[in-house]
Amino acid sequence: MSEEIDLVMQWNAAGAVARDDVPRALRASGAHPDGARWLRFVEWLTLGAGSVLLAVALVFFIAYNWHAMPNVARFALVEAAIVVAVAACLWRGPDSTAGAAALCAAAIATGALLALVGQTYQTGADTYELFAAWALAILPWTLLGRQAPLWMLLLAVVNLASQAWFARWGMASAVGGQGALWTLVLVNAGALALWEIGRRLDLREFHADWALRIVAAASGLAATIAGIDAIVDSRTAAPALGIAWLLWLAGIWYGFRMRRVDVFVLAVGLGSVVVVAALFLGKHLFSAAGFVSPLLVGALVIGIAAGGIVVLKRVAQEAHS
Amino acid sequence: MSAAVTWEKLVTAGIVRGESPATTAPPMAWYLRALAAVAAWIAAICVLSSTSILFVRAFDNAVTTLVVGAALLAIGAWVLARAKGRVFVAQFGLAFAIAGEAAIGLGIARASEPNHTLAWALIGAFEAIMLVAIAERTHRALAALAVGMCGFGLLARLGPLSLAAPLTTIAFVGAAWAATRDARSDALWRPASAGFGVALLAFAPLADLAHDAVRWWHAPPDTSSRVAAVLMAIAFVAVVALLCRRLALADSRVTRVALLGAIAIAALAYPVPGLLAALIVMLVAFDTGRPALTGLGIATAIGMLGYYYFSLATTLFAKSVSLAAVGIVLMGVGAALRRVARASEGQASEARRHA
Repeated sequence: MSEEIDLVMQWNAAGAVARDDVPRALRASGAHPDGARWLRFVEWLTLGAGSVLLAVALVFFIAYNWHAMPNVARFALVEAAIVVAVAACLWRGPDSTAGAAALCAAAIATGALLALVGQTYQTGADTYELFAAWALAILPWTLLGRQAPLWMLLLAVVNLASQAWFARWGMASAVGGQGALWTLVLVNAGALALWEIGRRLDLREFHADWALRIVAAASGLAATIAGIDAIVDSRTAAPALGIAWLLWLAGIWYGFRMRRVDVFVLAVGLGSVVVVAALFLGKHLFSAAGFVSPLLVGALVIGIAAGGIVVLKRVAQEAHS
Repeated sequence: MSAAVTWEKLVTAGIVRGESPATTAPPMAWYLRALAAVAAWIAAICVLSSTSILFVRAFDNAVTTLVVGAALLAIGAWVLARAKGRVFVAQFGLAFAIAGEAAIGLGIARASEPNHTLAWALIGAFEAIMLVAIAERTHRALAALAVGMCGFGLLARLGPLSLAAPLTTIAFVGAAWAATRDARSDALWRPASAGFGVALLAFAPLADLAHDAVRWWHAPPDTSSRVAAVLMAIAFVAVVALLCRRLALADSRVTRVALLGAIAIAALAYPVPGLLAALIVMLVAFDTGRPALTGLGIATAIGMLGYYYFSLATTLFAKSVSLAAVGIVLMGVGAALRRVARASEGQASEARRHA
């Protein structure tokens, strides 16, 4: 869309598109949405947001009536919500916007049901067990529903489960004191790899660009934290995280430059390089040689960013031609 | 989409004729510009550090700070004027310009002490001038964000902090739609609207959260936050009305349903700080073809609802009823719009068949 805006504005500057025609040109080119696209957007927004709000309202209502409601009523309410949501999904079909929204609401309500089970029966289950059970419970719906938002929810729940596991067992000290961080990197890098495999297998839900960008950003954030930890952490196991960061970068380059081109994912990798390089250079060079050092660090950071941007612009142009 | 395909669409729509003019390479994608901005910020900090080491007394008082800042800004502006699309040169210039403006801002603040109100006003005016004077897109977005921040600080000092959101809304919506007029307006207002949009998303909830905190700043008492909430509700309905007008909807029923839905949502979103601001950013950004800003608006709306959940201002029952009501209204509005729009589509295609 921004490419179309730039083209129309270039043609306006060149005199090919009259000033009065610019708004029409922006709609005709697809840069600005027309009525049909607006309708799809409003439909997605209102049905999606409406169903999520209803699911969350149910959670609040249960919490409010917590003490007053008998156990039977609590479970009946939550389970009825799940049944209604699944029925709505089957009625409208999981491929429709309404059906997909209903399935997402059912997945969220499942988490509420598991929390209710844990609190009502005092099973002694830990937080990580709740999240792990939630992930397992919604996995069949995620596989069958074939909706990108469900995969996003599953990824978030898996991340929470793994971090809660480390918090419970105090295993953050595992793997040289960085077990939790290693898990964060591996889970999210694995998710990005699996997403790309799903796309290669031409599975419809993995063609959603917005979801790929969220997964790539999550993976990039985890890898960047690992890279930063490798620089600032003085423990002997820290450099291994630096190697993990480098391997992640190599994977990004291989998957999104050599196999197919996705400039956004490559930009996430470049952003990670800029941040980690800035920290590395700052740590080792900042105070090395008077006023020259900060300038040198700044110039190197700009050089890395600018060089990377030039490469990515060229990659984008090659991909478009 | 290629230039040839886009040109063909304009030819089909009867807007242009013949061969398309030659086009230059498109500007950077928004995420590359954001990356460049982050790198420039890091480099600007390095430049300031280097300057403070080289000239030990550079930032000792207001006058030397202003002189050093002006020199850095002049270098940055000179380099930017000669960048001619070269990324490294442009980023270098941007780093010096940001460092210079930060130093000038510091100098103005020192010179204005203890009058912080004057400092905010002068820095905001300076950044507004820089917004127009330096034509680099990333710089314009950052300058607009700085103008928004200064406006927020000024209102906090003067008292009506709650007005930050309505005023920033006017700036964002005005800039976003002004950008669609022609190429010259686009070059100035599209990046500026990005900066105002981010400022709105940041400060709308902050203004509400800080409503009680202003007493700690010994500032005059704020205007009623209800005034600001009413203004935001009016702004939201006005934006929806203007959107319907921009779309030139043939069927007035769609417009009526949209406006009724907007009024209902504005009334129900009243207790949720920042939600209407996020929805305004989302709608206007979508209308002007800005997917990143649209996503930011959606994410902020979700965040504001999450904050609403954790706040202790109302009972869980009230929250449950409010959220359920909003959810039902949203689904009702969506279903009604879909039905009316499809009926309208059906009538239009029927009329075309008969014609």
